[in-house]
Amino acid sequence: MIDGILLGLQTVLTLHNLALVLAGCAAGTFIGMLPGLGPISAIALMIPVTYGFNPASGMILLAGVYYGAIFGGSTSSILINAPGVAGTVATAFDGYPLSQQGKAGKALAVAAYASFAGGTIAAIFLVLAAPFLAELSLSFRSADYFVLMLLGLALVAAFSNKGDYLKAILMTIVGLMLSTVGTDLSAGVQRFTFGRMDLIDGISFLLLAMATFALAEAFMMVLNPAPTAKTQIPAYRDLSLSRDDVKRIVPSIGRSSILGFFVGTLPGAGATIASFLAYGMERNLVKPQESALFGKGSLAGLAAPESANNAACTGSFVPLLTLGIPGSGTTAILLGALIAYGVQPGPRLFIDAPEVFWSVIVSMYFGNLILLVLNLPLIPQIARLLLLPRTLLVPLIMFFSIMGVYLVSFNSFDIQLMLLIAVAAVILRLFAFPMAPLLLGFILGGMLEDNLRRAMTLSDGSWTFLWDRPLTIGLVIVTLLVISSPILRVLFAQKQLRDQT
Amino acid sequence: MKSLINNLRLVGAFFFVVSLGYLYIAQSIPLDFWSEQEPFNARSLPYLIGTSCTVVSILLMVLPSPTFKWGELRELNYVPALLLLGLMSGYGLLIDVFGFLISTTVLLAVGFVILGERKPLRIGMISIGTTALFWVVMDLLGIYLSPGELYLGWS
Repeated sequence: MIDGILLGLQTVLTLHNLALVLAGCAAGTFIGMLPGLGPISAIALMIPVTYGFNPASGMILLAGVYYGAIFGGSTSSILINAPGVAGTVATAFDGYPLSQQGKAGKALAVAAYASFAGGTIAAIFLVLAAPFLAELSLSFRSADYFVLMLLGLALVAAFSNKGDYLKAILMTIVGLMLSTVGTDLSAGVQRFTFGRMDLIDGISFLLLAMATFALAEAFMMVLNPAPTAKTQIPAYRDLSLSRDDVKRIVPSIGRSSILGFFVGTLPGAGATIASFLAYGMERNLVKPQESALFGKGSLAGLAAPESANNAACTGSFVPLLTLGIPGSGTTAILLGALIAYGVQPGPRLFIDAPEVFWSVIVSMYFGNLILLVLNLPLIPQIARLLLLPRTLLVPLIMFFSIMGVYLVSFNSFDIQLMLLIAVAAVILRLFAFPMAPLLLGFILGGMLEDNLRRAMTLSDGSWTFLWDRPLTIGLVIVTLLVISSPILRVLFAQKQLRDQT
Repeated sequence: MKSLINNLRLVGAFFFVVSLGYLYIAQSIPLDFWSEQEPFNARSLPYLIGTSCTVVSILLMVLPSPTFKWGELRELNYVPALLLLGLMSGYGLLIDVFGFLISTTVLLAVGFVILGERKPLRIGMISIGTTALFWVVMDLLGIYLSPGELYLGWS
């Protein structure tokens, strides 16, 4: 493990890669600040920049963008009560009241320290857990992978909001459908290409991510503009914390970081759920006088979701790096980037490309450090960009989205396809259908098919591979429980109602 | 009376039709003799996905669901969004003809105007500045952006 960390340090600690972490954090912070544009859009917009780099450098930049986007979301939550990312909605509960009380500097400092501590604690857990899990996952076979991917897809739906379960399932299936467009590599036959040469290679994941996130967000900004009142960014200078402040936040940070990491490792859960869970948990665990301040400007109430969302971001890398299975829309797009760099993700990543594996882990830590040391003092300057009028911002986002896709293929058909998908995504969003499951389904589609093909071929076309080994049976049972969880929830609620009457 | 048509049923009905079309096309995926004998071939996953999509879309249509607030959809700014859509589609069609520099400057400038920007100096500076800066960066990275068929035809 020490060798691995040293290898990671050796890869990251070059001037070029350090500059990339810094650039990634700054770009991510800016994009994440813009309401509506979250880490998925931020990463999608930055992927074309990384195509000339080696995989380790590319991932280092993107990890920086990820952290920056989450931190940028916190900044706009605190300063203008407009969370840029769903994972930082809970940050606004206490961050914005603090900012209103003239303590914007203190709130930003708490957010930065909590994020840093959350990231640090989670990085330690990741260093300890990832190699162990990677070695364990080497015993996984195709059948286990197939079921595990189904489990990941089912969990995303199960963790969706109440009433959104079927919508998330449908979007996952639509993602899987889109993944079958193109040439089937095993048989070499074209599927769903309608005879078009442009579709022979399938739909690129970057095109889909850009269309369903960055471009769709830009259209949503036009369709549904935010109130035009001039945004005021509160002035602040003091970023210091008193000893009492530190005492108030330390226990919350410790507990929330651990909770955040474990929630983050669950496929489908991620930063949003982690931050809400941590906020709820801390409200019950802190002293009554602090608990009374929750929602009115509590430092612990701000530190809890901030440390949890950052820890969850790190946690979400566990299934990505060890199993090659993304647990969220954001890690799905990172997986897509890895595949585009020619790196085969999965348990063998740890063995075949240790420099990528370890440099991602180490760069995550550097990302946190840079956010604390450089981003925090620069926030007033970056926050000014929030005042950039939408009349200018939206066409620029649209241009960068189009160019991101066009520069890869130089095929103007891709622009039209992207617009078509973006229009469909906007309509589905207006009808309250989530887009992250679609992206996840699309990215997992190819791997799902490969593993199912292998498992089916080995078992001579029989589905017995699902119960041949204890590990597979265990995974099947968990998957079935997750898929049936909404039905069980309804039955449980009905039973409770009957017991009460 | 409560409307039977809501967002879930509408999307469910749409994807029900899509899934049937998908399954129909899946039947005609070409397979050679050997592939047809294989337990898992190029049609297998599409059949599984298409069937799942049919089932889920039927569930969306038949299960009870809350009413949808159609009023909110009527208040959206459709005109600028459609104009921008047309603008980008036009950009996709014309970038190969007019080249990167002209097409992008026009895309940005018209985009700013559609969204309500009225200061000519600001429009000109940002559209030309962004296009030029992007072109220089791409040039430095060794990425060739074509000046367009029209220019190449002349020269």
